[in-house]
Amino acid sequence: MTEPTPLLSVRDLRTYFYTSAGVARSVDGVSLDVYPRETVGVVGESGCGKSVTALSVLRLIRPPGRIEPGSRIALDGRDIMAMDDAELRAVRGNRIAMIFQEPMTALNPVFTVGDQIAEVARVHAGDSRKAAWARAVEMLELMGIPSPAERATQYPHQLSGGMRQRVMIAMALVMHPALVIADEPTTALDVTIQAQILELLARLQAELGTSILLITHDLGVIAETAKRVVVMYGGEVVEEAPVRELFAGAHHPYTEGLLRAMPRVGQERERLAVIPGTVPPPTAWPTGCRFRDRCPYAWERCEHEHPPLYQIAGAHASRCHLAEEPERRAHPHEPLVLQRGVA
Amino acid sequence: MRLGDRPLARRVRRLLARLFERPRGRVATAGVLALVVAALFAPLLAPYDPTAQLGIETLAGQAPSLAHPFGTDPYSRDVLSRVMYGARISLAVAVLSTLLSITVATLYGAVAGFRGGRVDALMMRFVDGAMAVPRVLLLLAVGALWGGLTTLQLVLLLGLTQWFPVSRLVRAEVLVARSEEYVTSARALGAGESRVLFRHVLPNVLSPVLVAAMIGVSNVITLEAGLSYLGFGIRPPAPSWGNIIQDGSDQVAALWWVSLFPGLAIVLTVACFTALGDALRDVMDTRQVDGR
Repeated sequence: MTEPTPLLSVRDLRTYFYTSAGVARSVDGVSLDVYPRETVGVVGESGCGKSVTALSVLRLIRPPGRIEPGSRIALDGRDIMAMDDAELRAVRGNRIAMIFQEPMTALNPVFTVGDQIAEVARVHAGDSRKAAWARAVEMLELMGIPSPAERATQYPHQLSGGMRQRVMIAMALVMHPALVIADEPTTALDVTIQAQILELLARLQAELGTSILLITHDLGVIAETAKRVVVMYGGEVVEEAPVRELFAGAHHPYTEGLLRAMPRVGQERERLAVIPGTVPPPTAWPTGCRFRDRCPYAWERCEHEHPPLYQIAGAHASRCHLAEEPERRAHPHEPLVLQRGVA
Repeated sequence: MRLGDRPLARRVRRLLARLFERPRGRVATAGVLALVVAALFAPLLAPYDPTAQLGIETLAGQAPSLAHPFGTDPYSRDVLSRVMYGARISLAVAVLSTLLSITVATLYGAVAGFRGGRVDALMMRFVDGAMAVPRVLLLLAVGALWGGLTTLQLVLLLGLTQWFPVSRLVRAEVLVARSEEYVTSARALGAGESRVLFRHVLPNVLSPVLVAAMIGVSNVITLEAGLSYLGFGIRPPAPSWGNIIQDGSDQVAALWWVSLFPGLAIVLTVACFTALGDALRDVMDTRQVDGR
């Protein structure tokens, strides 16, 4: 395995929101690396801190949110946390680009899509109007959009969802960024379009040599695209592993639950398994293990001792005390949320 | 050369097309256009010089007739000509002061809403305070102090006292627009703050501002007429609708036509601009209208 220095390195990222309901520790000590040309998947359910992590990498957190001191984000060894506004703008859209979940709301309704793609080239490359427009049309063509010159003159509402997502990707890739952060890029699309978009991303990655940080709640998407997976829960990384290893043998009970909640072809099961309960509010993470109320293995230790990220195997890590007491996996019980009788 | 960089022109064309689909939009637009034409071409269309006394002994206070469709006033001037020339001044004052107030309101409200926090709080408290000052009283005081106003002074005065409520509207719209995902997306693609504000936020709040502008024009028309009627607005003998009404007000029963026709002009103008504002409001909600 040749693993050079990571392209993106995040260490102990903590992003807190100072709300009237208390301090929401939405991202609470996340570390992750993305290597050149690699796709890393970040999974977890709503409210686990995935999107906030993504926005934090580009320092797009607005008040009342704040990236806490001590968090480190580096791109190619350059400290993003230390950059001033001008340096940051030169990174955004240029070295790191972002694709958003909802292509309807992430495109400006009052400008043509060609305009919006061209804007990126004008901001970063200082292209003339004409050159930027030509580049926009070229990008649309690269996205596999038929009659791109005509499409470029249309407004977002005139395009279908899949088409709009292609436009978003075109905007993100105009400057051939080193890293693309895709926040749920296919969630708003139907399945066939979803497959097309994932295929497009994979093709562009191969052609342009881009790294992708793919954020999703859909393990199926991860399985198709990513090389490594980071599972997030409660603002933390709870498990990290190469994709195959994760699907072959998840360690963390949360990951186990996610995998069991995934529909599979050819499997006779009356209903899909669910993970009981919901993510606790980020203003009040439980002490000890944050998953313990929903966990079928939790014992006293989980209540008092916050588990560290245990190394399970080479590149496989899990934030679960089962790493030290594996025998307890043999005796699952009703999770606490169910014992308390709450839905 | 096919540049897609003329979004405004295309937007305006689409907007007008939708506006003309509705009867109300057509009627209001036609009315406003007729007024503007009458005002612009008054020197060509008006039968007489608006300030000429046509014969103080023979033609003073004549009832409407073929020669003078709106009659003549006590000074033997042709009321139709005066109303047409008055339209120039009344409309010019209304449109210019509304342009001024809308510009100030948009910039002020946009900065407040976009910056947020303490800047916003301070700016909005100032607006609250300014709105607590009774406007008509202020205008009368200034008018009395200066003994009547030139057109330019009137425009400035009306414009600079008109923008407060509109700035609130703009601020509220900007607050909504700035948290839209396309704004975050623009930032994520490297747009600076001023680019985000002027290119991504402001164009999305212009629709309600345009509607507010139409209503602003109606407001200023009545306000200016009131001021001129009271003798604090446009100085006679230059005609404005307000001071024409004033010319007839001593003898309304005898010379009803002197006050009636400029009054009708005011009513019609206000109705047209308000209707146009309403029609634009119906037509402009881009969020609910889907492609054409």
